[in-house]
Amino acid sequence: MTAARWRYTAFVAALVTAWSTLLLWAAGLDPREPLVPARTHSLPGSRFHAVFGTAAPEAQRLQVSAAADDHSALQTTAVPDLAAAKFPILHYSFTDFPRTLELSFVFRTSEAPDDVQAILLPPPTDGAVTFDLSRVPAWRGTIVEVGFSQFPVAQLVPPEEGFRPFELAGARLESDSWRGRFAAAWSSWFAHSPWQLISVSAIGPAETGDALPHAPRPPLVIALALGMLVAIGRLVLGWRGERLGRPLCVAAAIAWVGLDFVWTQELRYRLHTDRDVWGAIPFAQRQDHVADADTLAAAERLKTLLASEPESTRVIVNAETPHEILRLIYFLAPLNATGISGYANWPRSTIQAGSVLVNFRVERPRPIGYILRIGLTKVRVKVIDRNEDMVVYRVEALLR
Amino acid sequence: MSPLSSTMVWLVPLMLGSGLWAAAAGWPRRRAEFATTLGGGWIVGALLCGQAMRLFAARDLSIGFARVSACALVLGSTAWMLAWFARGRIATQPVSATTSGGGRFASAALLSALVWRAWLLASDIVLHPVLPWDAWAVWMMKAKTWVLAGHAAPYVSFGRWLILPELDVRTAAAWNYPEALPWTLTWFAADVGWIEPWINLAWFGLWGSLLALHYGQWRVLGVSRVHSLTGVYLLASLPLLDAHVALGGYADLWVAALMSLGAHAWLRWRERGERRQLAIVAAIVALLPMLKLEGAVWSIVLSVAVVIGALPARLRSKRLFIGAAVAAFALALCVTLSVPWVAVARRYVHDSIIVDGARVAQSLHAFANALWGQWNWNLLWFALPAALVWKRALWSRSTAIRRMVVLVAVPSLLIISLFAFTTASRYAQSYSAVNRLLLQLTPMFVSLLVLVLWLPAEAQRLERAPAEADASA
Repeated sequence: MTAARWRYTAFVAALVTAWSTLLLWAAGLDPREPLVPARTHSLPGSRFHAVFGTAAPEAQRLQVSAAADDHSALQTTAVPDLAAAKFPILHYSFTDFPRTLELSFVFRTSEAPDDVQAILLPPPTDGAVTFDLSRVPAWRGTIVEVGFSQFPVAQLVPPEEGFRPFELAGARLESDSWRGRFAAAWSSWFAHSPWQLISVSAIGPAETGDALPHAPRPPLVIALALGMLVAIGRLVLGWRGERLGRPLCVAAAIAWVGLDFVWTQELRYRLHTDRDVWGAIPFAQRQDHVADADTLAAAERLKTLLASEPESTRVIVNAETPHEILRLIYFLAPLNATGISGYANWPRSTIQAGSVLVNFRVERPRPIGYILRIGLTKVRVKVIDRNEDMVVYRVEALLR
Repeated sequence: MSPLSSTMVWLVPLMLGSGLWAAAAGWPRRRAEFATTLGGGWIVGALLCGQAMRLFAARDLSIGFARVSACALVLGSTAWMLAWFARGRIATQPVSATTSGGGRFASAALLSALVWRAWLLASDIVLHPVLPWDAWAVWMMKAKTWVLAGHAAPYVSFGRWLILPELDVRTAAAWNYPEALPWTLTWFAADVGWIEPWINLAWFGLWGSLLALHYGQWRVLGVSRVHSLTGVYLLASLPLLDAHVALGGYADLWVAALMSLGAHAWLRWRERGERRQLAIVAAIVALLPMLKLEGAVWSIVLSVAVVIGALPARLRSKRLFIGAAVAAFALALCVTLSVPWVAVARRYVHDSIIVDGARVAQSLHAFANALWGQWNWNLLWFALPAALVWKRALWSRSTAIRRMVVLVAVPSLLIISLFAFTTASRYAQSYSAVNRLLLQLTPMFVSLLVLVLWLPAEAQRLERAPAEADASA
C-alpha cells in the first residue's frame, strides 16, 4: 500500500471515529451501555384507562373516542414501583393521532404522590416515537403511575375542534441502550410541531427555545461534523486552501439541502395541520375560526350592543391576561377600544361620561353601589349588559 | 372579490414601484436589472400605495382603491416612459451570461426547489388567519380598525384619547409605532375588505420580490447566473424567514428587504459608480423609519455610509470621525424631534445598562444558541464565518466585500450590544426578539456569503498588494 493510500485509510478511520463520537455526544449516550435495552417494561394500550375523556380497550390497544368537557383527555396506568433512573427511555406509539392535538407524558412518583409531572412530547405523527427521559430533571425517584394527556394545540385550534378519535397502541419504558438513545435523538431531530406564537421568533420542532429537553439540534451536529472533516483533512491529508475548500463546499451544500429537506417536511406538516383546522372553511370566513372563539363571540355581542353608538365612544376593556385584553380589542374593531392597562402610564387621566367599561371574565374594577374607581378617579356607572363572561358598564358621571 | 381588481391590487404596486425605480436608477437593460427593478419596485410600490391610501383616502377608504390605482398607474406609466426616453444616456456595465449544461441543470433544480417552497408557503398563507401575537396586537390592529371603520382616525396616547372624548381619535398600546405597514395593509384590503388570509399574501409578494431583487443585484455585481440562483435558494431556505412569510403580519421582513435594497444600491454606487443608485438609497433611508422603530437606526447607518462614501479623498483618513459626527447629528436630531424610537432606546440604554458579567454571559450564550443551536438559520451562521476565513485573502482585498462586511458589522454590533448590555437581554434569553432583529440583517448576510464565495475576481476592484504597488511604483 502506498503512503498516499495509508493516509487516505487513516483519514477515513479518523473521520469515522470522530463522527461516531459526535453521534454518541449528540445522543447523550455512554458507549458502555448495551446495544439493546437490558430491561423493558411494556405497557400495551389496553392497560391504560381514561381519567378524562372516553376510552375503551380493544385487543391490545386503547380506543380513545372522546375528550372531556374541557376538550382534553388523559389516559393513565399504574406501574409497579419503577426506578426512574433505570428506565430513561420512553417509547410510545399511537394510531391516527390528530395533528390538532398536543401530547404530554404524565407521571407520578411515590416520593411525591400528589404531584403530577407533565412533559410535552413530540406528536406521534409517524407511528412510534422514542423520547429520552434522562434529559428531564423531574424524572427521578420511584415511578408509580404513568399516562398520556392530550389537549388542543394552544392558540391555533378552536378547542372544541381539536379532538378526533385515535388509538393508543402502547408504550414501553426501557433501560439505557444504544438503540434507545439513537432512536430518541432521531425522534427529537425529526419531530414535527404546528405553528405556535413563538414560531416567528424561534424555530424548532418544539419551538420553545430550550425549555424542552432535546438532543443537540441537527444544524449544530452537522456543522460540527463538517468542522471535524476540515480538521482531519488538514491534519491527516495535509489539505489546504482550495484542496480543502472544495470538498467542504460540496459537503456543506449536501448538508444544507438535507437540512432544508427536513425543514420543508416540517412546512408540509404545518400546512397539513392548518388544512385540518381551516381547510373546510370558506376563504373569507377563516379569520372567524379562531382558537379563542369565546373571546370572538363576546366581542361580537359587544359590537351588537354598541352598534348605534357614535364612533368616538371610548371603550375600555379589562380581562384576566394581557393576551385576552389585546385579543378582545382586536376582535372589537372598529369599536374605539383600548385596554385598561393604559392607566399604568397615565394614571391621572380622567374618563368621560358616556364611555364604556368592559370586564371580560374578571370582576375588577368592580363598582361599589354604582361607584367605580378607575385610575385615580371615581365615576358613577350603570350596567348596560351582563352575561356569563362579561359585564358592560356605561360611565354616567365623573365624581372626582 | 373580482379577479380583475384582485390582480390590480398586486399589479398597481408593481407598476408604480418599478416605474419609479426605473426612472431613478435607469432603464433595466438586462434580465438581471429587470429582476431588481421588478422585485425592488414591488416592495417600494406596495409601501408607496399604502402612503397613497393615507394621502388620498384617509377620510374615506372606500374610494382608496380607485384613486390610488388611477394615480399609481399614471405615475408608474409616466415613470416608465421617462426611463425609456432617458435610456440612451445611461451607460450600463455588462453582466456575465454564459451558463454551462451542468449550470443549466443546477439552475432548473434550484428553480424547482423554489417553486415547491412557494407552493408550500402560499398554500399555508391562504389557509389561516393572522396568528402571531404582534401581528394582530400591533401591525394589523390599526389597519383592521381603519378598514372596518371605513376611514382612518389618528392614533394618540391613552391620556389624550381619554381627555378628548369628542374627537375621533383612537389609542393602542403601540399607538406611536410607525404606520407605513398598517397603511400598506389598507391597500391590500382596499378592494376586498378585511380578509386576513388575503392580506397576509402581501408577505408572499414580499418574499418573491425579495428573492428577485437579490438575484438581480448579485447578477449586476458580477455573480454568475447559477451562483445567483444558488444564493436565492440559500436565502429562501432559511427557516425563520419562511416562518415570517407563512405566518405574516410582522414588519421585520419588510425592514430586512429595505435594508438590503439600500445596502446593495449603496454598494453599486460605490463599486460601479452608478450615481443614480443614490436615489434608491435616499428612498430607502426615508422609508425605513416609517416601517419600524429600529428602521430609524438602520436609516442612520445607511446615511453615514453614504456620507463616508461621498467624502473627498483628502478627508478619507478622518472618515471614522466624520461618520461618528454624522451619526451623532442624526441622533441629536431624533432626540430634538422626540422621534418615538429614541424613547424606546432610552428605556433600554439609559435606564438599564447591565454591568453584571453573569447576565451578560447568559445573554451571549442565548444569542449564540439562537444563531447556532436552533433550526432558525439552517447552516448560515456556520457557513458565513467559514467562508470569510477560507476566502480571506480574496475578500480582504476586494472593496465590494469589505464594504459589505462593514455595512453588516455595524448594525450587528449594535444588536449584540443591545442584547448583551441592556435589559433587552431578557428578550435574547427568551428568544422572543433576538432572531427577529437578526432577520432584519439576514438578507445582507446572505449577500455577503454569496459575494465572498462567488464574486469573480474580474468583477472586483481588487486593491493591489503593497508589494505589487511598490513594484509598479
